Amino acid sequence: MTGSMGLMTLVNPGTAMAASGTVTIPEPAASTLDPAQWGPQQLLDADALFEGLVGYNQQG
Amino acid sequence: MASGWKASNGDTVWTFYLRHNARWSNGQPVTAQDFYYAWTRLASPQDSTGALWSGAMGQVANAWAYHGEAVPASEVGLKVINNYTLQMHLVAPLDILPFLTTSSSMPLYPPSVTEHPTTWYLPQNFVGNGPYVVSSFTINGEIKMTWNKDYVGVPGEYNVGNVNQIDVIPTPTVPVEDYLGHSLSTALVTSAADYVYAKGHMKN
Repeated sequence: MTGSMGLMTLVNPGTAMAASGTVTIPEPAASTLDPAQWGPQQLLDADALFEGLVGYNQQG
Repeated sequence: MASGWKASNGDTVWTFYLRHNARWSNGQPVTAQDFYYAWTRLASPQDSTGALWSGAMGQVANAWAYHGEAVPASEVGLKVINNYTLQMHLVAPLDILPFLTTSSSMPLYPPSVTEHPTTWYLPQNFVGNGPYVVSSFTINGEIKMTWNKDYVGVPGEYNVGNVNQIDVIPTPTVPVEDYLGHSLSTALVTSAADYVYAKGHMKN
């Protein structure tokens, strides 16, 4: 378990991911993947579908 | 995407340098023009719901004025210096600017968006520069993302993992039970009842 801000996230590293390379995650329903919209940007786009100006570059 | 940056004029002008090897999922290079297109689109007066408030573009000179149709796009302080150099002229000094560029700072592939303005993010039209691409998308439903074989990340950083598919299911009714039943890889515990249930049913 990991927790912050009164919420707790359960993360099980031993589920289907190890066997199949697939993770299944819950998110609120999304009507668009447009990164101009706050919801999809934070939940799906950032560093998964799009790499922003400062994202993976941990040396920058 | 940025390989580095430089602040000048008392932290009011920020110049960002893009790495040259980044590619869109169709193999085309990611350029400063792609950032300019996406950020100007975000600030456009035609986009009343965009999250202009959330990232770096909201700090750029005349971005809000452009959003309110008070000035043309040419007066916004976002400038393309060359294919791999982007410059921001801010409304005030801001030494935390690079940290703001982690949100609302993504580029878009202009040909895809202009050709398919309302469906560019559907699998048949999608072009991205991240490690995954959309392979299926049901509005308000399940989303599948698979590994982008053309993705070029920063060498030596945590951008290559062992996950080749991410399945997103919308708002499960009993996420903790689904997690404990191994149909979800993660779950968010949001209530005391779920916490007690999880604590009582988890082995560790």
